[in-house]
Amino acid sequence: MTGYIVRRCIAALIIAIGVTAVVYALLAFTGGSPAVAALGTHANRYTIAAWNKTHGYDRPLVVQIASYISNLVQFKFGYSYKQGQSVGALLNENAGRTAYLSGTALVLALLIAIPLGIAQAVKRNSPGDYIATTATFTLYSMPSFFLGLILIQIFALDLHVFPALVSDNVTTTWEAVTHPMQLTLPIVTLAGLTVAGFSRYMRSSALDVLAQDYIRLARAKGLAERFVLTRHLLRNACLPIITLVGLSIPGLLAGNIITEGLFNYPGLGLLFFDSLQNLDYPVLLAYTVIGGVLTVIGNLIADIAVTVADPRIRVG
Amino acid sequence: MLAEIGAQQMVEGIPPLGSPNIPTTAPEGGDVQILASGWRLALREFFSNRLAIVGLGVLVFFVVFSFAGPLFYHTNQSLTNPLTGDLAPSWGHVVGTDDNGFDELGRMMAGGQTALEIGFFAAFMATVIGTLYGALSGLAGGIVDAVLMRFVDILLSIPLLFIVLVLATRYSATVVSQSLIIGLFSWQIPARLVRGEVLTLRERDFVAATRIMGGTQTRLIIRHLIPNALSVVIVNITFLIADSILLIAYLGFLGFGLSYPIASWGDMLGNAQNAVTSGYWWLVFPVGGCLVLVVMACNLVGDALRDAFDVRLRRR
Amino acid sequence: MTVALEVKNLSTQIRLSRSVVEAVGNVDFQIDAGETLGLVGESGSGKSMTGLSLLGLLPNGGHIIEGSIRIQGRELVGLSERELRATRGNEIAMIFQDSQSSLNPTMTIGEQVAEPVRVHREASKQEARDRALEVLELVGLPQPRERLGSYPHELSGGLRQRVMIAIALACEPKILIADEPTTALDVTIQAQILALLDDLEERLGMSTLLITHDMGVVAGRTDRINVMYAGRIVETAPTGRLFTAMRHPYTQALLGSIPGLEQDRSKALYTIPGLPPDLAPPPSGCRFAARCAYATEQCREEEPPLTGSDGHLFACWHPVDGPIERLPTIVPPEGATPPAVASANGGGHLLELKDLVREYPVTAGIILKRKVDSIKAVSGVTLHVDAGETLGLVGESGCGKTTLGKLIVGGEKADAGTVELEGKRIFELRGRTLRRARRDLQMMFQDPYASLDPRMRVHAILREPLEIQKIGSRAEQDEMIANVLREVGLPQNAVERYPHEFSGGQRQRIGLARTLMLDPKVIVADEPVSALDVSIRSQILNLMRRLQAERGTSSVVISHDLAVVKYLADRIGVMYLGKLVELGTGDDIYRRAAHPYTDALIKTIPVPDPAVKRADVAIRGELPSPRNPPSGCRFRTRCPRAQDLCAEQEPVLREFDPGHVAACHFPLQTPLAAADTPS
Repeated sequence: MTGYIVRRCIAALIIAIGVTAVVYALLAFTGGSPAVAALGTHANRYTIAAWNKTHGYDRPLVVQIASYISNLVQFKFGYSYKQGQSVGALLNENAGRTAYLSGTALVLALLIAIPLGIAQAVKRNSPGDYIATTATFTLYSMPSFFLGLILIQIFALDLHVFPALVSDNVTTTWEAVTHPMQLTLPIVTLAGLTVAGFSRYMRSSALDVLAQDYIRLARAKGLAERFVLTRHLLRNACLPIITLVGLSIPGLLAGNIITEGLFNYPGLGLLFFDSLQNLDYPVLLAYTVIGGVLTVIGNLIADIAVTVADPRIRVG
Repeated sequence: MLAEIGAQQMVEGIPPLGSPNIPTTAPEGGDVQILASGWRLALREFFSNRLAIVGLGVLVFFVVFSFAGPLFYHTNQSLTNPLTGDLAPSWGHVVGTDDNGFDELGRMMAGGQTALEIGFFAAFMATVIGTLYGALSGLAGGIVDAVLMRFVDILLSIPLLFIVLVLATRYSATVVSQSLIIGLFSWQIPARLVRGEVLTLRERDFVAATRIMGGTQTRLIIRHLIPNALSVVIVNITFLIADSILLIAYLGFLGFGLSYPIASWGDMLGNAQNAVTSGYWWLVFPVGGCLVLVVMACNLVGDALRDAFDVRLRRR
Repeated sequence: MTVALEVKNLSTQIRLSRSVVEAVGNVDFQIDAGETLGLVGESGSGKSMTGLSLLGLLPNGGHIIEGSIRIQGRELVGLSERELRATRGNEIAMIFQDSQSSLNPTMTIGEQVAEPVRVHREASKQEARDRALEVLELVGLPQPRERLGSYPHELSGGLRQRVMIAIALACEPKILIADEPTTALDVTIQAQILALLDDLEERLGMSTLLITHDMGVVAGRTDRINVMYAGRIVETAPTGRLFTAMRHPYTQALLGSIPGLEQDRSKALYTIPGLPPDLAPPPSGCRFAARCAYATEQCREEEPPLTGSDGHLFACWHPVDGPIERLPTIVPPEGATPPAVASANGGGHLLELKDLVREYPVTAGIILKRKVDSIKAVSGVTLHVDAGETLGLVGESGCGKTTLGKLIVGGEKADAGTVELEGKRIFELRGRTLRRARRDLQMMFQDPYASLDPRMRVHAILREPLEIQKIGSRAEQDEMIANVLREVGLPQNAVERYPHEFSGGQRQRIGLARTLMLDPKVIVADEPVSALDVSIRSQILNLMRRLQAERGTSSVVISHDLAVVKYLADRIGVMYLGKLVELGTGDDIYRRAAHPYTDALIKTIPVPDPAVKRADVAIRGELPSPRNPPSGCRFRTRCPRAQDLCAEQEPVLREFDPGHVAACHFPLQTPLAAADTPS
C-alpha cells in the first residue's frame, strides 16, 4: 500500500510539473509577457527586449520554465509590477478568505448532496424524487452568477435578509468567519452548483449500489432498512464521490472568480479578476499554476482516500 | 439424409425430435421475431422519453427564435440611443430596452445566435480532436498511450475558465476565436471517453473474430470500432454544447466576451448586477432564463440519448 | 415428520413499465423437517422468484398476489415488514449464486457473518464475533480466526461461498434456501461446497430448498424434486421416481437433452424446439404446449391441473411413461466415412502444436508499466489434430484452455513454440499470405452476446469474412450466406436483422455460421454451449455433431463440461494450470483415467442420475496461483498421491494405451513399456 501511495505521489508530481510547464508555455506563446505588465502596453520593442534580458525572459523556454519551477518550490511566485508587491504576498493575503468560502461551500454541498442523492435513490420515481431531480437539473444547467443574481433579487432586494454585497468591513479571514450573514449568499451560490453535480452523481451511485446483490443479502439477513442503508449502502455509494470531490476543485476555483466578483468578496478570485483587467501576468500565471497544482493535489488526496476507504484497492 | 434429423425422421415408440404437431416449416433454429432495427429502436426509446421531447422542442424553439426571429421582429441593434435606455417592458419593447437603448428581445435573439454558433462549433472541434486523440491513444496502447493520457491529465488539471480567460484577454473576441479557444481546451473528456471505449471494444469477441478472419487494422477501426464508439461521442456532443454555452456566458459576464457589436447572452448579463440593484429585472431574468433553458435542453437531450443508446445495445 | 415449510397456491407478479409478468403461478409444495427439496428449471422458469417470494425479497415491482407460505404452521404472507424481518436470516435464510457480488466489498467477513447474530439475537459485539468464528469454523473456512478481518476480495470463490453459507447459518435457521449455490464455481470446488451443504443439513437438521438448473446437482442430494416451467410446477416426485418414471413431457425432454458421461456419441440428443413462452401475459392452456411433442388441441386450450398419487404429481393431459428410450442416429451408417480431407503434407497431422507457451505480463506503474510478474497461462503444450477429427479440451477455469484456443487460431501470439497447419508455420507468415492462411483456422466464441458486432446486420456479419478474404462476387457471396444460414437452421430473413433481435441459441447459430463461411480446415469452439439453457444447448450440440459428420471439418472443442466434450470429441485433452496432463479417447479418459486429476474430475462431476453413487470430495483445496505455479508436477499440491518426487521433477507424458498419454509420476494405470517412453 505504501508503495502504491509513493507511486501515486510521484505521478502527481510529474503531472504538477507538466501543469506548470504547459501553463507557462501557453502564456509565453500567446504573448502574455511580464514586460508588458511591468512597462505598460506603450513600451517600445527595444525597452522590452532590454527588460527581458535583465529579467531572464530571453532565455530558452525550457530554462525559463525550469527556473520558474525552482522558484515555485521556494514559494517565490514572482513580482506584480502593477501592484508593486510580490505575488506571494498578494496570494497569501487573499488565500485564507477564499479557502474559507470554498471550504464551507464544499462541506455544505456534501452535507446536502449525499443524503439527498441517497434519499432520491431509495424513493426513486416518487414525486419527491422528481422534484429533487428537476431542481438539481436546473441548478446544474445554470451559470453560477445567475444563481447568485436570483438569490440577490430574492433575499437581498425583496426580503432584505442578507446583504447583496459583502460589506467592505470584512477584510480578514476572521471577520469573514465571524460575519455569517455577510457570507451566506456567496457560500450558498458557490455550494448550489456543487450540490447539483454531486447529488446527481450520488443518486446514480446509490442506485448502482442498491442493485447490488449484497444489498439483497443484507435484507435477507433480516436487517432493518435503516441499517441496510447506513451499514451497506452509504460507504459503498460514497466511494465514487471521493474521486468527484477531487475532480471538483477546478470548478470550485472557477466558481470563486464568479462568486467573489459578484459579491465583491476579497479573495483570490477577485484578485485574479482584477489582474485580468490589469493584464498583470505574473499574478495570472501564478494563480493558474497554483489552481492546477491544487487540482493535482486534490486528486491525489482523493486517490489516497479511496485507497483507504476501499479495501479492494489496498493490495495494488 | 443427415439433414433430416431433427425435422422429419420418425423413430418408433417415441415422438420424433420435431413433433408432427408442431409445424415443421420453421427452420430448426426457430423464427426471428420482427423487431425494429437498432437505430429505430433507439429513436423509439428516445421519443418515448417525455423529457427528451421537451428538451428537443426547446432546442428547436431556440434555433427558430434566434435565427428566424429577427426576420419577423425587426429591431435596431447597431445605433445606441441613450434616450430610450432602460425602458421597462411595454408594447413597443416586449422585454424592454437595455442601457444602450437596444431592444432587449431583439438582442436576445442575436445573443442566441452567437450562443448556439459557438456552442456547436466548439463542441464540434472538441469532438473531432478528442475522438482522434482518444482513438490514437487507445489503439497505440503501451507507453504511447500512457504518455498521451498523462498529457490529458495535465490539461484536465488546469482550470479551464482560467486559461480561457487569460487567452480571451489576448485575442480579439469574435465568434470564431472564442469557439477555437473553447474547442481547443475542452477535448480532453471526449478523448478519455473514446479511449476507454476503444480499449473495451478491443477486448470484445467480435473484434477478435475479425482479426482471426484476417481483417486489417483499418477494417477493424472503420467497420467495428468507430460505429460502436459513435454513440458515446454523439451523447457527449450535447453535453459539450451545453458546457461551451455556459463557458461563453461566464466570459461575457466577466467582461471578456465578444467585441461590440456582436451580442451574446453573457455580455448582456455583464451589467446584470447593477441592473438587479437598480430594479431593471427585465435585463437579467429573461436572458438568464434563455441561457438556463438552452443548457438544460442540451443536457436533457444528452441524457435521453445515452439512455436510448443503452437500450439499443441491451439484449431484449 | 413435521412440515417445516408449506407453500400453497403461491402466485407472484412483477410489474414492469409496460407489462406485468406472472413470474410464479399457483405454486404448491412442502418441505418436511430435515428434508431437501430440489426446485429445478431453466432461466425464466420462476424458480428464483419462488425463492425470493419466500423471503419477501422480490425485486422492485414484484409482489405476492395470492397464496400462503407457512413456516412450521406460521403464516408469512401478510405479515408486516417488521415481522418478516424477524423471520429473515433467523428462521429462513438464503444463499445466493454469486458470492463475488453478494458480499459487501467494504466490510470484513467477521462483521458480515456477525451481523445477523447482532440483529436477531441482540448479541453483544463480542458474542456475535464468537458466534461468527464458530460458524466460519463449521463451514470449513481454513484459519477462521485470522480471516475474521479479511475482506471478501481476499478470498477465492470457493471460500467466499463458504462465508455466504456461514452468514445463512449464523442464526441456525430452520429452512435454508440455496439459489444456484454452486453455479459460479468450478467442478472440484462445486463438489466441496455441495458436500459441505449435505453435511450441514444432516448435522443441523435443516430443511433445504435447493434451486438449480442443473439436474446433476439435485440428482444425488434431494429427497424430492419439483420441476418448474414458465412459472408453474409441472411435476413433483421423489427424486428416484422423477429420473426413472417421469410423467411430464417437459421433464422427459429436459433429461433427454442433457448429454451424460455415458452418452452414446452416435445418437442425437433430444431437443425441445422453440423458446419458453413470454409470461407477460402467459399463454392460455398448458404453458409447454407450444414446444411439446404430444400436445393436442386440449393442451392449447385448457390448463392441466397438478394431479397424481403417492406424492408423484404432474400437470399434463397426455403424460408420458418414463424416459425417452431411443434416439435417432446422427453418425452416417457403417462404411460411409466423412469426406476425406486431403492432407497436404501427406500422412502428417493436419494441425500440430509444439511446446506452446503463453505468459501474460503483470505490470505495475503508471507510465512505464514495468513487468513485475507473469501469469503462466499455457506452459509448453504439445498436441495434434488429424483431418476430420474433433479434439476436446477440458479443465477448470484458469487452466489455460481458452488461451490455447486463441493461440491455435492466432488470436494471441505464442511466446514460444509453434503452430503448424499441414506442416506450415502459418503465424510466421506475413501480410497477404498470412491473411490467406487464416481462413483455414476459425473460432466460435462462448458469449453469444459479445461475439457479434451489435451495429452490423447478420448479412454484414456473415459477409465480412468473405470480404476480408476476397472470396466470390457479391451474388456468389449472397448465395453462400443463404446456404450457410440453411445449414445452421436459421430462416433466410435473418440476414436483415441485427444480433439483438435473436435469442441466445440463435446467436450461437450465427456465430457458427460465421466460422463456416470460410470453410476452414479447423474450427476452434470455445465453450460453445455454456452460456445457453439446457434445452437450447442440446439443439446446438446436435447441430455441431451434424455439421461434423457432414462437413468432416476438424475441430477443437473447449469446455469445462466433460460431458459436452465427451459428446463432441474423438479425443480429449485434460488441462491443469497451463499443462496438458492427460490425452486420450473419450473412453480412455472416462474409463481408464491415468492421471489423478482426470480421475477426480470425473468423480466430482454431478451426474443426472440418482443411482450413481457419489464419491467423496476427490480434490481438496484451491487452484494455486498461475503467477506462481508449484514446482515439479503442478497438481501435486492437491493430489492425494503426491510424494516428494512430484515436487522435484516434472512428470513427462507417458503412454498408457495407444494414443493415451498422461503426465504423472504415480499414475492410476500401468504405462505401456513402463521403463522407457520417450517424448
